[in-house]
Amino acid sequence: MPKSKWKSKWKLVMVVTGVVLMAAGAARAGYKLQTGQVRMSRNDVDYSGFASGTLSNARSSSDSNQRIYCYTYPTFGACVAFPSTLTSGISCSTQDAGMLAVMRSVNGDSSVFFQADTQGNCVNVVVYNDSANMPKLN
Amino acid sequence: MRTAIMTILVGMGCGGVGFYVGHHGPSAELRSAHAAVSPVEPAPAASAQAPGVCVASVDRQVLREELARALGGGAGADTPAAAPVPAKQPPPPTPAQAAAFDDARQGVDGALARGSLTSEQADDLRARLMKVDPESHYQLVTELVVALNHGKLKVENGDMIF
Repeated sequence: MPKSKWKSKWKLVMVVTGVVLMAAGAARAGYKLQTGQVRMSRNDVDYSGFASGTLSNARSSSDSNQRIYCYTYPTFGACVAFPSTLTSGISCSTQDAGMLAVMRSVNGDSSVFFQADTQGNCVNVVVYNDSANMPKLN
Repeated sequence: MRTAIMTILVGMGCGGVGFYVGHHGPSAELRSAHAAVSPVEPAPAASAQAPGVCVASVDRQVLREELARALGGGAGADTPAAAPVPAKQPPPPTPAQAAAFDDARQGVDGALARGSLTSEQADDLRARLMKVDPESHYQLVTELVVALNHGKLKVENGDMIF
């Protein structure tokens, strides 16, 4: 093989490798959470408990049980979670204006945490709209 | 003769006092007492030009009670206070609202009795709940929430949006 041809081929390989590496680097940039499965914990004595999960992770999970969401009406709202391993779930409802505002801030890329008391009332609702969350693609 | 003179003097005294009050209006105490008793009703203009009243003819007990009431204490203050205004009650439900509530109540009771909700049953229950007033809606949803948390309600596809 002539030296000039070998050189040009080598250049092409280097360029392609560089482009691939740069693309891979761009795709991997930024901190990403790899977890976000729906989890719940329930007290089997008084039935209070809590749940957390990322909407996108729940949707893209391989099982068909995981689901987490909040819904609101003008005067009340509720959050509901179903983890993968249980057919039953946990939920809480509230009329508290502050918690309703938090529930309304949930979007497709959010992580949600909520806590229910023994009567099913929400005692805490937290929404994380975090760049590290996996985006919900479909 | 002596009695006649006394009668004339008392009469002149009453007349003089009446003339004074008629020109200068009621005393500040009487005015404040009157204002305290009827704060909303404006005093008629004529009251300022009220005809003279013989103070001596006003019952002292009545006057004392009026003053005591105006000052917020004393014998006249023991009259019962105005009853507190009752909290505004919501209007009673209309027959249509009552029927909608009964229908939703039946749906919730059915779900709780079965211990399960299929997607179709959830759709039906949602439609019923949408027709009730917001407070009843919230109460009924909370019953479903409690049942879910107690493990007494299984929901197909996790459809708990009510």
